[in-house]
Amino acid sequence: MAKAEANSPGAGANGTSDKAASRPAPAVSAAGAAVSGADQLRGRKAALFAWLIPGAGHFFLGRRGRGAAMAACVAGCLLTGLLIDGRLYALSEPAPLFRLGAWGELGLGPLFFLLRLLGLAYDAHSPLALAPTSGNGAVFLISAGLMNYLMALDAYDLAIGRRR
Amino acid sequence: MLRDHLIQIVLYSLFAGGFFAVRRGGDRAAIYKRTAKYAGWMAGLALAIGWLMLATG
Repeated sequence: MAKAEANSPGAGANGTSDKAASRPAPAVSAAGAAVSGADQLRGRKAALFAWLIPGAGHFFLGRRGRGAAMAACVAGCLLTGLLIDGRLYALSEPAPLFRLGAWGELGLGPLFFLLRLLGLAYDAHSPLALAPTSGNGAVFLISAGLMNYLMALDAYDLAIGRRR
Repeated sequence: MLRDHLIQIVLYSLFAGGFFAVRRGGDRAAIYKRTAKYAGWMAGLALAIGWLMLATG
């Protein structure tokens, strides 16, 4: 809301300079109030924790029920993907779409690297042939990663009061 | 094979539907209701697309 006002054509005419109008607007809460630096820092921490361990960001903010429910959905997707031999893509895949898949799966945070290191999921270097369900499994894994990105954003929004 | 796909569709719809329902917020009853709604839409679309793919070879 504040950003829209700052970028409106009339903003400069109301006493604010063009330079001020072009400056990025501060983060605002759901109520439209500017967010303090401490809350933004807390939000960034929550987002980082959420990316590192699914659900941790919400636990950090004291929203245990919400965090547990969302983490259960991510975990369910992840486990189903692993059970049906979902493929873990590498960031260095030659095919661009596979690289996009890797960026999606990277949403799982350290789990992505752990799964690769432990060889718990199929990847390009796996000595085993890909299972017929690997494509479907990869969709589950990518979805789990993308949902975890959303969890991190959700934790940030909760911390700054943009979402309740 | 078809059974496996159906199980996958149901699981995927429930996980994704549940996730977005929780993200939307509200009380427990509202979350369950939204989960059913989102999962139903997702499963329906997946089945429709699957049927189209099978029908068109």
